[in-house]
Amino acid sequence: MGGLLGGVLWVLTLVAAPSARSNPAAPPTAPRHVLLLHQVDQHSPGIAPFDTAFRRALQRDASQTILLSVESVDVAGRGASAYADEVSRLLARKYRGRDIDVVVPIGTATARLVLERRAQLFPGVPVVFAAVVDGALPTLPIGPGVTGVAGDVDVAGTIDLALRLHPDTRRVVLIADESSFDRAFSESLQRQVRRFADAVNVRILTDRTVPELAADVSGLGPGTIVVLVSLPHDPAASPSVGGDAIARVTQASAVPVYGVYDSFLGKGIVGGHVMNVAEHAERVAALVLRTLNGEPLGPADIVRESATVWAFDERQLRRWGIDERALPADSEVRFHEPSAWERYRWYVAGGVGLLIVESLLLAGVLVERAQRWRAREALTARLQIERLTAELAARFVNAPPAEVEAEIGRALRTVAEHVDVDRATITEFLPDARHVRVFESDGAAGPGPALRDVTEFAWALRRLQAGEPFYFSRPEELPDDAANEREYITARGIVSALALPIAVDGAVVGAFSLVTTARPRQWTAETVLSLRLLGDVFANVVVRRHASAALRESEDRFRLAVDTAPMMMWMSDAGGGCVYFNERWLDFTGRALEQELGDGWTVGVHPEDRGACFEAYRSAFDARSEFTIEYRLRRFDGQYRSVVDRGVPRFTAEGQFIGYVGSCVDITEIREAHQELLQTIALRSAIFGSLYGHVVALDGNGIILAVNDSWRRFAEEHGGKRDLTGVGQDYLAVCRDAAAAGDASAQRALDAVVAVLSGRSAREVREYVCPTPTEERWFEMAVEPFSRPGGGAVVSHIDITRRRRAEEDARVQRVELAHALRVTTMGELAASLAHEINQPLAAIISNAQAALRQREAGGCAAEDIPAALQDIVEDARRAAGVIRRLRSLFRKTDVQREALSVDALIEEVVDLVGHELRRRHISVGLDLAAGLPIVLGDGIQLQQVILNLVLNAADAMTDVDDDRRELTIETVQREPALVEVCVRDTGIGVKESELEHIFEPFVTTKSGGLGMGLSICRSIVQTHGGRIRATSNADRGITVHIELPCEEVRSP
Amino acid sequence: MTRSDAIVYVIDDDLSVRRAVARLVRTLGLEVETFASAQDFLDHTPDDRPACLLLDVRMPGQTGLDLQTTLARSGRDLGIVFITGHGTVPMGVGAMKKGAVDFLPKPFNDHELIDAVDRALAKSREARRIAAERTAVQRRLDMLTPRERQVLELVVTGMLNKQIGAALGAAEKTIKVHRARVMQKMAAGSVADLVRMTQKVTPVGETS
Repeated sequence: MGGLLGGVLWVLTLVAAPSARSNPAAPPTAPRHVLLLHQVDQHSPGIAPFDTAFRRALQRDASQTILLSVESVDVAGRGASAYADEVSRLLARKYRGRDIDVVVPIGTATARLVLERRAQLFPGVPVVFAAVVDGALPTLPIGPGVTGVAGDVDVAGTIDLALRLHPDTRRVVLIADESSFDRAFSESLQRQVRRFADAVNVRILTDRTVPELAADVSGLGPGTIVVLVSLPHDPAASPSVGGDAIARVTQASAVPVYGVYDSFLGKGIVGGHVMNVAEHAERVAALVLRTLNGEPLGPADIVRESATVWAFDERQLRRWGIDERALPADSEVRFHEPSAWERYRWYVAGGVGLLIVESLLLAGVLVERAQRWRAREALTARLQIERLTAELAARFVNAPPAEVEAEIGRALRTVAEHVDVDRATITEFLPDARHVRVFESDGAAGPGPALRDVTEFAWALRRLQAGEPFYFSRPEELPDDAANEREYITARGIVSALALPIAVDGAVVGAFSLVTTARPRQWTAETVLSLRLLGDVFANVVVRRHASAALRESEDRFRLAVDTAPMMMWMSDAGGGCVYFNERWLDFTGRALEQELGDGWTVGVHPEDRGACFEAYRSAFDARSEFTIEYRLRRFDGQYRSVVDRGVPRFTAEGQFIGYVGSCVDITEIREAHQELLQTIALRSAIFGSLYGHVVALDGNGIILAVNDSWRRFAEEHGGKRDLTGVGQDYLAVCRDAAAAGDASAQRALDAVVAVLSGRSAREVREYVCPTPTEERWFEMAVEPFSRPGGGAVVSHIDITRRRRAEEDARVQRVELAHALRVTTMGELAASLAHEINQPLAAIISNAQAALRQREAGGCAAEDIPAALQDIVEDARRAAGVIRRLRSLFRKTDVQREALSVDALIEEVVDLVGHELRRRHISVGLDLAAGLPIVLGDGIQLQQVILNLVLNAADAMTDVDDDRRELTIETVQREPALVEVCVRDTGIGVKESELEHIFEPFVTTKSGGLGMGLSICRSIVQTHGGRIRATSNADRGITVHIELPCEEVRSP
Repeated sequence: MTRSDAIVYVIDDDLSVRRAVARLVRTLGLEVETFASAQDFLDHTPDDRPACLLLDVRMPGQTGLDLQTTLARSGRDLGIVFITGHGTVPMGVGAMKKGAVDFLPKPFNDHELIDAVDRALAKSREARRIAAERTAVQRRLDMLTPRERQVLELVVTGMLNKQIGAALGAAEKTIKVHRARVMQKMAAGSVADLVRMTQKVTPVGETS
């Protein structure tokens, strides 16, 4: 009885349970119990997103089993504390002796109720409140163990924006039903709208029903905007169609409607500074989980920030002609209808996207059986009614199928007695929409159900099928549309009636009605609410009756088919519980049928998949739609296998839903292959997307197949006349147009792409300048074939401006450094060089003076004068030569490219330093190959290299004996296009380990050396396309080899 | 002063400098010989004439300074003038201390060179004259008996015959005879002559 009561009266949901297998070491823990107390009707808009997000967040914590009980205390808008007292009393009675681990009151009023009576209701139980108005926090008795999330909805911000978007606004209508919130909320609202009072006329609509509100807003004239804060809590409105109520108001509205909860979005509101209900719920759930995990949270952990975002519905923006650009910068625009381009892009990315969606289906955690009941407002029903309901439910459960119909009659009689009406009726809608099957308490329609044609009662049918109840105290209260109904009612002597739609999992299957014939009856909201529970019980019975009948009808035939089927199959009843598994299924799981029945089979579903699996199953179930879900199911050997489960609803011939039949296929191998493919694709797309260069993939005809992000950005920033961002554009055409307009680099680009596309070239690289408004930028364009059956090319443009500049800087620096080094070297040689110049000068002067003296002496040896003059000329030439060579070495010039003879260069250098070498007692041997080919390069720089090497060699020989100081310079033709210069010394040598480093900067083997000389040599040789290296000689010293490319010598 | 009795040697590794300097020196009416290295010069048989050496400091093999040292040891009375393309002050000072006549940086003009050559030759001549005098005195000294030599050494210190006699343990009369023979053999007219002559072979103060 107790269990049944639980199943009927409140929702006890197992939201998360750890798999015993997955965590064998953990000690078994008792389920944790979370009690969620809603302030308003659970079917109010905004509640469902909260619940869903809250559950989902709890499900993420798979470490413990969490039971979630949900109650609606409905204390909002009720001033009298007597009611609160009564609710408390009920709550206390209901939860006495139950171990509640966390209480989650939602809304300020609920939080106040719980906190003020905490000692009596939930002594010592941690409280995590939600949706409490920030301004109300100081008024709440928040003690230890109490935390939560507080925040206001931003009505003022939303109005502000609306006034900005509609500057002509003179009137703001706020729909804010007071019954759905409490005093603190009301005060916050009043405070927020007060400041608009001067600018516009603000009117708050309260105490209106949805139809009234719809009528109100439809009559609003221009210059008005509506802000929807909350909808009325109308007992007569269908609880299951809260969303429709919003849509009804917004559709009826002649002016834009703004809202303050994101759950209103998509139902016709324009948008606003909306509270993200799901985000709010997640924050609450996070606090709950931390509490469950033993963290001692308290007032200091209260989160005072409502998760508000600017969010809008694009369709509504269009409807009211609002420019998206006028929205706040960080706005989210939802319900975006894709442009042609976006659709195109999806077409391309669709393959990947579908795979991602598939894999998302695999993720998730949940152990929640599809629930039969969405209980509501248990506490607002009288305990009496609870008992009655429970009793009836038990009776139905225990009744054998054949007795069910009779039991329905008996139950209706009990109800009629209990609520003091003359007749209680269950009406079951038949699929033809014309007929109903009627059960009555007084048997007026005869024993058992009676069929009736209800075609003429269109008003009542429509209303009930829309999920809306109706009631009247007198027939005259019925609207004019319901003339037929009124006539019928009057004819049957009915005075008052109440009709509630009965629904199973959201689908209206019939109606539950109470009728008085003797006297008028006033129906209270409370009665309506409590009777709904009864209606639900009957609904279930009606459905179950069909399910069992259908089963009986086709069981044999079905069993045969299913048991011989080659795949795993299962069957569920109308309630969602599994009633059958075929042999193959049982073979697969290795379990007995009894273990799998009902929810037993869920034990085998991978814990991570349970959540997603059930979400899909339940939503399909609710919609009676076919479904395909994928999850991992444990095989008899303990291995989890991926299965695809396809479920199809079953209906009787009459169209009555009787459950599902499903089949499963093991797709582990396919899944693994998919995963691999997915990863490869994801990896490739990530690589492609993240490439620094601008990359575009073209097909064989030059049509753009894909572009990466940086391409798109670049194209957007520097877009020309043609849009190059779009897949499907003709890249070649764009290049051709640009080339025709005189863009030389476009022509070069075109040639490169065409060369690769045509297969003429395997890779094309071009550098080009792209002037932007601010500077010149250099790009390197690389075109490579796209290896795929259809051919194509991948074109990447890399901005090499920085590289170019760095190269330029490096070149300038190298020139500077080389020059500085030459000057330094010359400085060191100054004494020697002065000697080189002084020698001829001294000779010249002496010769000249000798000649003068001879002339003065007259006659005496005058024949010697011409010889002296001849010597003077020679020496003057010699001095000039020295100076010329010196000047060229001191000159700082840009790198030249001239035809050079390596041998001549060497001879000049040796001339220059010949004296220095002689002074150092170094003998110089030149072994130059005659007729070497021309080398293209910079003579000064190459001479500097030789000079450096010669002087280094000389330095290396300082400490060896005078007669063993030998410097040899050799030139040799190594290859047709390569000459080699070897500078060989007999010096102290270099350690083998240091040899390879001597060309690096700042590496020196000389005391006092800078270590730059050889590094400069290397960089000079490298700029000449050559190579420099050093080897140790067999006997003494080292040889430095310079290889330089030269003009190719063609063999004759 | 006549230059015809003298010779100038030019030592420089640079042929053109060698030729030019030789040509200039020849205009002075001097005989010139040139050598490309110090060794070439040392290998050459010396001429017994007043001589000037125009010497390059920096040369492969033995440098000019090395040669100066070698020559000083062998006692050749040459006047040395250094000519250098890149001489330094310390190098010049060192060379002058060792007796060089001049240190001419290249390029030099004819007057500097002529002046230096003249001074070098004068120095060479003076050296040769001193050397000749010393040789003559020495020859006379060699003719003295050991007793006469003892008497000479005491006479030049200014001692009287009587004092010398006491010092040598001989009669004053005997000393007087020895003294007369010394004066005669040394061809000295007075004691002062005698003192001057002995100083030429043995510097004053070094007499033991």
